[in-house]
Amino acid sequence: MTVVSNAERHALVMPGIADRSRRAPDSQPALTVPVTVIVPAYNEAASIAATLHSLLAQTVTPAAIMVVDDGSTDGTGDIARALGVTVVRPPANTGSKAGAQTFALDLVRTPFTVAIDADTSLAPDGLERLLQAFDDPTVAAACGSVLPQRVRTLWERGRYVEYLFAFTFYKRIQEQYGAPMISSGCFSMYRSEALRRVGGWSTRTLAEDMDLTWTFYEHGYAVRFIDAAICYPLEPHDFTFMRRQLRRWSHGFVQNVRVHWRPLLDVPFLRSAVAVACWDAVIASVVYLLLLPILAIALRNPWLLLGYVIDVPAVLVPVLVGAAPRREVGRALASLPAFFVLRTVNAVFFLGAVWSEWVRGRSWHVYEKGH
Amino acid sequence: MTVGIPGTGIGGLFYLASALLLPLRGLLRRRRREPVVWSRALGPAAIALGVLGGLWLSGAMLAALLSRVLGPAFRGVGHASALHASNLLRLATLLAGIGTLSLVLAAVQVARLTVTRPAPARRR
Repeated sequence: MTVVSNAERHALVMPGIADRSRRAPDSQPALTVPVTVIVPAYNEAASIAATLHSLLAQTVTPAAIMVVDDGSTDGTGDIARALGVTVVRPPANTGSKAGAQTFALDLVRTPFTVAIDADTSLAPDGLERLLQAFDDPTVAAACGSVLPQRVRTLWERGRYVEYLFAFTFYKRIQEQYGAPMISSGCFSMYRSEALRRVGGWSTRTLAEDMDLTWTFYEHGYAVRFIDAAICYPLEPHDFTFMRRQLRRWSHGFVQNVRVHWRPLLDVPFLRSAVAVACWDAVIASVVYLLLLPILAIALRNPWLLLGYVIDVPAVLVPVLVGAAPRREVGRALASLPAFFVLRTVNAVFFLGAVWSEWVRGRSWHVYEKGH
Repeated sequence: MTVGIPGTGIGGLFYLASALLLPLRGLLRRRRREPVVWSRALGPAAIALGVLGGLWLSGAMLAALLSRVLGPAFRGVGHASALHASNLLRLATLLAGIGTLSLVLAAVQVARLTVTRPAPARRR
């Protein structure tokens, strides 16, 4: 399905659903598309209005926007209602984003479902661009590029460079080989039928988006990465939030490998990418965090410490390629040192997760909100 | 989420190699009359070439800098052979990385052939 021609525009409009466009009266009303947007929210009063405004300003209008007020106590639901969207409230807090999203899935009546975090804003054409991926009937999920909404603190800057790097280089390669590793939980579109077929978002791991993506592959579906569909989440601004997010992500990855490693062997490219990622999460992290400094001291050779920065061009080239069209080269260069800090902290958390989950057999299942 | 240490490790090599193979893959797809978007295939390959060039350049610059400017101050600290090299990036290091990556990828193939798996949940 394409969303450009007038004929298809008529075919896409859902009968009986009012056009909910908030555009100026003199502009052409946006096309209403058969998409339900689910916004899970727990105490997101500070950010949910921006998220909803960005949804209401899309170049295509979703048939429904559904905020899942998951037991908020800060008026999140009232803010959403005031903006004219549907608000649903589970009988009790579901305990996780996956739980809130799956609760809402039962209420979805459209062929496509979007999940977006309540602290994430979209580029105006985000929905329209993702929808184009579903021209292919085998596609079950599509995701876009992610860039931090704010780039101020050390942690936000580190994440900014990490995202520029990953979405300019790694993710585009994964897309070319037909196997994006993850359809990002902060903003993805799904074929509703496929989503229901696999049981929605599972709570068995802390990375429900990776779990869902890998499950789709195992069921023979395709997943797409559309780089021009951009979303802007709020990223952790301090170490307290970053620590929670990294712990959730690192444990989530390790848990997903444990759950999926056998069926993943049937997924070309992804099986290799995951194996390499596992190796790097363990061996490269040990080398990076322990072996390099120990060898430098034991061999009394400080040049070994150049290992920490020798790969700067490997990071810098993709980052500059991603930053240049956005005219953000200066910001990217200024943020580069923060990336090396974040990368080191990232390695510590992944090692910790491997140690806890695989060696000690202690699985972490406490869902901590960290943006 | 990027697992491990983005940019370095055998993951870095894996994606470099994957990017460099994309044009070749495009040619093969074209021979099979499958659609190829060349800009999508050539873009990552160009970035990969840029990365390799950048790595070589930074290795050469670091070697020049260290041997000419800082070298004498550090000659007494171990025997940093890198000081006398024209490039800090050593072929042996690169070969070790490629060898490790090959072993990991080979292990995946062995697992694919030997590990028993549940019946696929597919297909629709």
